Amino acid sequence: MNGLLPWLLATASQLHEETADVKTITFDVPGWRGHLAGQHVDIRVTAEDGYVAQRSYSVASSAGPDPRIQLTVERVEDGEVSPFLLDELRVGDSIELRGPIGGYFIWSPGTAGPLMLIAGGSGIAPLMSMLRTRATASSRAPVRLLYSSRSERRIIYRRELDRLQGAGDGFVVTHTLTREVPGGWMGERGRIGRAMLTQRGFAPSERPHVFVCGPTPFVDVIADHLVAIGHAGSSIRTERFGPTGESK
Amino acid sequence: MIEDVVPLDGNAAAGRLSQLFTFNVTLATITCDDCAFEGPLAELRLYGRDAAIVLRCRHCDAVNIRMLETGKSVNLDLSGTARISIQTASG
Repeated sequence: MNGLLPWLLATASQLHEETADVKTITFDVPGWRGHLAGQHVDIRVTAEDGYVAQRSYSVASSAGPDPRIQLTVERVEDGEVSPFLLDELRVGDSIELRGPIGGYFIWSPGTAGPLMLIAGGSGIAPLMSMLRTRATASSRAPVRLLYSSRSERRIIYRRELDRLQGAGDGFVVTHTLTREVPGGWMGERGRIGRAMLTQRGFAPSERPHVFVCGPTPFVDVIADHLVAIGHAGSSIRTERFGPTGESK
Repeated sequence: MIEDVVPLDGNAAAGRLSQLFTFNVTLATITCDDCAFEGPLAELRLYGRDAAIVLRCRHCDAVNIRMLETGKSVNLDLSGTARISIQTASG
């Protein structure tokens, strides 16, 4: 990243409803210079009275030079930016965006070793970029994803995750539901704890690269569990996105 | 106004810090002036969002970095940081 990261004009070209509270927005961003999996953008929204709100969103689309990028946005009640993006923004509307940003929470297909991904709610977004990047690169790096959602209908990217797992190339997803569990549910239930991390994740001896993304309390708890079961602190990368369950 | 009580990671401040540093300073090692804890800026605790942010030590919670953007100027207060160290070569 160089010192001058200009604000770019990004125009919404597609809106896709993922769940009742989550949309994926595709932006055309002339001047975009490509991104790595896990990087984010800053979005700046200026109100009529001049008040400026700025938020960070992970890029969910595959790494590469494509100037069309996707952001997956979840509603934050009383939020300043997400209600605008979800309720007001239409195809053809533009916003200001700066990126790609960040060299810490990133993964590239050339990275040796297995990948352990742990998501809470819309924390799946940057991890989805890693999974899409892996698929695009035909990487066979072993990946295990533990994905915690409140209920089945709140699972984001469900079909795509199933399809990626169906390719049988070393990617395994474990879903867990923390609130409403429907009859016949085949996945895990309850919050991700040490037992689930041990049974469904990689062992510390396999030296996985671990990426954890979700609400701040979720990430704090998972990071503590990971260290407690023996994962090296330096192998764990975290991305916290704020207060309560599944807000951003 | 720093209204957010639940922190993010220092990594999320990379965009605004890029206004002042010609390299990705979130990968630099920051030494806390209070407790001497060392770690990447990306792992500090980030509070605040819009005009003003603070980055706190994840070990002792002391403020290491303050940043204020007024629209006309960008201001950085590093008085809580003892040292910023960057790796210039790998290995």
